[in-house]
Amino acid sequence: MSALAEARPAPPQPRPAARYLPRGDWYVPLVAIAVGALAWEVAARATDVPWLPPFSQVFGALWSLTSQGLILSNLVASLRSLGIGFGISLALGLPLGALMGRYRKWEWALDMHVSWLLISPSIVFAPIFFTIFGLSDGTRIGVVVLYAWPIITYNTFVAFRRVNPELIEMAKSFGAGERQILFRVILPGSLPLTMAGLRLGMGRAVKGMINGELFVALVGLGAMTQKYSNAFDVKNVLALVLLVMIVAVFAVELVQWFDRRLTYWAN
Amino acid sequence: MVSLVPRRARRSELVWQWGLRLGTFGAFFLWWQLSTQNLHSLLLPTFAQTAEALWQLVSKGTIWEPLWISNQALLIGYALSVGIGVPLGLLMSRIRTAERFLDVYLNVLLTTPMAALIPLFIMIWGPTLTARVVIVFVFTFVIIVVDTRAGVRGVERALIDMAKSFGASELAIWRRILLPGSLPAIIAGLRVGLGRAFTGMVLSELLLVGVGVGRLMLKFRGSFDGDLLYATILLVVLEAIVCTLLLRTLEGRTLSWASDASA
Repeated sequence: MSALAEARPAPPQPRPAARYLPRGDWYVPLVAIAVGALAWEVAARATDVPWLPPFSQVFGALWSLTSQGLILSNLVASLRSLGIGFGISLALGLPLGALMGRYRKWEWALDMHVSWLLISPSIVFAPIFFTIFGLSDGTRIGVVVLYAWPIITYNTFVAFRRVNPELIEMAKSFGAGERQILFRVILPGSLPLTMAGLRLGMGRAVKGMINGELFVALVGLGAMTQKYSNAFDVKNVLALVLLVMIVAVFAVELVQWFDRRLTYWAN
Repeated sequence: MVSLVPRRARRSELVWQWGLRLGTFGAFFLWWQLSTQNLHSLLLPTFAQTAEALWQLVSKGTIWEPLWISNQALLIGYALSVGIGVPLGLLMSRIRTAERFLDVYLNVLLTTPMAALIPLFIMIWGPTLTARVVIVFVFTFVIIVVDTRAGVRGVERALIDMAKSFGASELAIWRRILLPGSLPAIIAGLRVGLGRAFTGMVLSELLLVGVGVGRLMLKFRGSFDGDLLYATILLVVLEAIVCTLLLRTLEGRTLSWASDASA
């Protein structure tokens, strides 16, 4: 038991993964992607195996799925559960993380739960949500929450705990009240790390969204992927994989954008 | 862990700490029991029923064979990820051109939900062990490459420059500076990778390949054995926690050794 308590996850380091905007030469990633697409095309045409259609055909499939209007409704359904799930994760994770960072008793009450949720493969809980919510949206939203909520809570907790105590002391000695300390010292000081948590949380939320949809297979991009894979329609499956990649990168980039606007002073 | 001033925990503090930790667990179990016991639902078991089912699974041995089947894919896939991911991360960290070129792919792969690729692997290999191994591999391997590379990058430049100016060869730099310096980050990557490997294992079995613990869960769901379903899930979670804790112990050892070495 005591080992579990100590087994808190390492504080998240700013991973290179957090950076989508090219550093330095902006054209390098573009060239890399173009070369990759070309290699895919050539390899597919040279080998001619059924499970590797050429890039151009996959892109064409994505285009025709979109123009037939099949994508939009499922994309909206996916983004809806992503948005609701991420919103719930924020509403639960930010206050709980802040309380854990400020008050020891909150920390002791919750730290073990956050750790074991972070460690465990969240998708195994999908069948549990299924027994509670059935085929309704609740199952998919629940999975998203379980993917995003623990990391947001954990990062917020560390962010609040790491606020420089000397700054708080100084603010106190210059006569700042609790409110002022909270709004002028603690909140700004904890913001960069909290935002890093949101970014990681969004990445995980997208994964939760797709995994949940693959499991329930009723609506959304995941369900669509399931449908085409059951029909062994490789082109459309790969087209959807491409789309999911684009959605994931954009969702994380959106959080990045907020992050840069809120914490421009920290760099 | 994150307290800035190290301090001795007083006895009363420890009592509070463990009282609250165990108390919240107790409260959760109590809430579970009370909220489900009047439902008499087939799919929502009470805490007591789940605990009993857990005991049944373990004592009758129904769980061991599926667990072993699942773990075959986990073991092979994870070993492959480590065997390929760590060397690749090391190489990428030293060859600038390769790194700049592959960076965008690593970043995209790190955010991409790999689960979307599962149907493709099943199409190629069918519902076989190979497919499950590949799925575990793709779930695990990117994060191991990224963390290995980050570890080598984090090694202080000045150390390498100094070694070079004293005439160290590339091999010596690797052996004496880069590998020891990046080891803590590499092991951290192995730990995060392990968590992802578990996700890959469970997901592949739940979605398309009906074997192992995934099949067991779907079977219990189909036969409305909610208690056995919940118990199986608990066991998988327990296994993931135990394995992660083992790796973390290893990590703690290397960390203490690494700080000795740098002191």
